Amino acid sequence: MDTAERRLNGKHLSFYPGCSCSKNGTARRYGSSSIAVLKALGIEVSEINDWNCCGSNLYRIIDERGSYFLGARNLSKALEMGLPEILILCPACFLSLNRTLTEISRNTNLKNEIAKKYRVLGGPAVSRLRIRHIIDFLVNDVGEEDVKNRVVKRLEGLKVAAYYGCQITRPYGYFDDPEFPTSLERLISWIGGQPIESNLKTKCCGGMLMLTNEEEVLNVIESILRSYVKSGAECIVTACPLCHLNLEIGRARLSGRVGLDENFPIIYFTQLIGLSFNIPVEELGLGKDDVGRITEKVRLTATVKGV
Amino acid sequence: MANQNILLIEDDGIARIAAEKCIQCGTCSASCPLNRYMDYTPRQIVALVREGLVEEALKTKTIWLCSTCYLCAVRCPAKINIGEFMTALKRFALKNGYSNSLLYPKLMKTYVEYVNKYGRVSEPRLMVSFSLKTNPLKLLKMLPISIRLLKNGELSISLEKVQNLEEIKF
Ligand code: SF4
Ligand code: SF4
Repeated sequence: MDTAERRLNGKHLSFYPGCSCSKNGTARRYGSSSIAVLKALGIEVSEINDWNCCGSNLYRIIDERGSYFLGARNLSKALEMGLPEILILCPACFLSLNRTLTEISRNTNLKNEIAKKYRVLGGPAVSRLRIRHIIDFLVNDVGEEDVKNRVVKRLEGLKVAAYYGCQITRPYGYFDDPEFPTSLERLISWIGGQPIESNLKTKCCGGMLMLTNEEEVLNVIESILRSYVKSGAECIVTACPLCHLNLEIGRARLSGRVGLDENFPIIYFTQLIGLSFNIPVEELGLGKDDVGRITEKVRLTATVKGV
Repeated sequence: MANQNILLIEDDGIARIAAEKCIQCGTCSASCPLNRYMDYTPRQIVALVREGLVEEALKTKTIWLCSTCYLCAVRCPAKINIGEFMTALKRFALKNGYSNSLLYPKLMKTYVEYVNKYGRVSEPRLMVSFSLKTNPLKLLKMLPISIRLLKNGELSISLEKVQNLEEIKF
């Protein structure tokens, strides 16, 4: 066992799934594959007890004060569980809980008011809270050696393009560059894939505006999909529930126009990692079709380690 | 009384900061993914507010087209977070009744109702409630993709609830 493994083995974080990655959410596959991948790496996560919606960027427009209380309740539950390091998948939740923590730390009046309701936040434990995005955790805490050691099927030569979307690295993206992050590309290469660049990888997908300004948002998504088609990628990996949904809608509605096969694999990056770890596809929430389309692209020279 | 107008937009003073520090370089406008569809560019919104024409800024489509992607924020040479500036304008517009007929505020209100009632949000249900309130025909258009998502196991209409709802009354 190397040092990194010894350091991480038995590491225990609290987990905030948020509405999308929860068991009934649209991104439940992101949730289940993330948990499976972490487990395979020897990391334990416990869902925050009775967590509530983070409020996203919407709640705060109607009720700013309330939005901090929403976030604070989740933070307080994590502290009560004795697990101040909180793992998050959804970029909107990541942004929202980071904002709450930042506000509590700098605004004493707000903090005092919140501490009346969620007492643990009035104490010194608050300084131990950490909001971690799973990409950050995998790349910077788990690291290259441990990820590589866990790979069973190297996805040799598979051309994978990552789509980050906007809020993973902006404005709280302290773990990578806000415009040209490379963390996902590193992860892709660790599992044997060939990272493919798209210059629109952090362009916003339009998010919720899909519901209110469909035409405009479809145009934005068209430009994003075109750049991925041009890149020659064989698979797109995402890290955001909303990006993922919007790309899927784009793939269904625009495939003919942008020259994208309507069955082109668009999956969460944790599902791809899980595939290389040989985690059962049901746990990863991967359909047979996607698995087939991905594995047929893996170059024949693939070295199969173990199993 | 231009500057008093600005002061009305409370928050953490982001409107005042923008008005004071903006050098009108247009980097925000050039960076914005939705700029083509806006009636005023983000730079022009700052200019309006700076001139005290707050009401005009509140009536624009621009503020509701901002998706808070923060590309402008990380590029602005004056370090102004225009995404937050837009958020402040949205909040102010809503509070003062400028935008009640628009779709986006309706979506927000539906969302907030869900959170307050259940503590969590079911996205498919949110989409359905919102569409029923605004444009039921849209549901028909969404049918093919919904069926596909359903087949993929991505749609669930089950509702998750917070157990202790008292705790989210503030
Ligand atoms: S980028 Fe900053 S300084 Fe330049 S116009 Fe926009 S807000 Fe003003
Ligand atoms: S935060 Fe808003 S204004 Fe700024 S670039 Fe993104 S969409 Fe445009």
